Amino acid sequence: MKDSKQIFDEMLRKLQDTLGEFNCKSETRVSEQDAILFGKFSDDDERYRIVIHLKEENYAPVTINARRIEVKKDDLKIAVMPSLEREYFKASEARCAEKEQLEIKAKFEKEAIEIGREFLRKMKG
Amino acid sequence: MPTLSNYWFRDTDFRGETSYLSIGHPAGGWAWINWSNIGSRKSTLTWEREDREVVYDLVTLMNNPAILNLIDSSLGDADRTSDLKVGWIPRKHLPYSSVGGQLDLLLRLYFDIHISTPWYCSDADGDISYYLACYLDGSGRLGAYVHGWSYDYDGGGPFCTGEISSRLSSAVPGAIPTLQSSLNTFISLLGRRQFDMFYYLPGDGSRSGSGNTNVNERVSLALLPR
Repeated sequence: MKDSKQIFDEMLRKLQDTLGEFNCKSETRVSEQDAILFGKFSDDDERYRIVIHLKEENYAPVTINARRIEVKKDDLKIAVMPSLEREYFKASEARCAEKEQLEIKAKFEKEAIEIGREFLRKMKG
Repeated sequence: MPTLSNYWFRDTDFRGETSYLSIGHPAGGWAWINWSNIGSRKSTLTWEREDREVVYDLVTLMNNPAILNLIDSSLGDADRTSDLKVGWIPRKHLPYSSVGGQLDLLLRLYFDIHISTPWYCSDADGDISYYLACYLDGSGRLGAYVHGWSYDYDGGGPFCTGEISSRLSSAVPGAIPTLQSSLNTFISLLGRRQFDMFYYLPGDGSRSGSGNTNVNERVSLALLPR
């Protein structure tokens, strides 16, 4: 059994042959469920345009589409963060003096610069 | 000195245009915030921020040539017409169904596109989005994966929407392995460090002053390193 694309290809090829007899050069665009033939030609100083649109009868193309990606089982068990529904206990447990906090921050920022540079090197490589 | 940040959002569930004000205060003491007129706002958040917090503006981070080239080379017929925008989106507002905490925040990485068409159709303009889920594993290491995708456009009529949608439905998810691979590279580098927590902050996450931003388009990543 032929699929729609095969039918469109065959029909458009025959239409192009016919249009060629009128010196009409045409192009086609074929997708799974619809297809287009378009072209221009002139005759006796009059210029013409032709557009033929083929589609499956019930095909209604959408302009919005969205999909969840299939994820690994392990990812399904992971709680996405941050969540405005959950409380964070670990942060308060880790509270320490201001001086120590600033030291932690400075140490991380230094490392982060290196991480950023290495990432960009890998991206470019 | 810890900082108290207060955010007011135009839409429910902490979305849309956002007014913010941040103020340092002594640990254990009051933080004073006066709003003369907050206008029409439907949700609010307040966050007390520790001194060890490290903040990265994700819009600035993502709009570097290496990442832009990666995205531009994956778009097929579409042309990117804006910078990358990185906002947050609560799970309940994802454009596809997803099981989990309704107020889990995912990152929405998106940009505007233009698609040129032959003379018999109007050109199309819209956007492409990727949704990223982030987490901390049991040992406090950051992880992230691409959670979903979407596109949305106007134009392409009267005959080209089928072809445009067909191509986008292939190209947009087709770019995910490349995107995930880059994420993995970044995460593996960051995996040297452990964190007690991370969260997102509206705008550039500044620790002082007031202003306006749009949390749908710009958020920062705040990390609490151990």
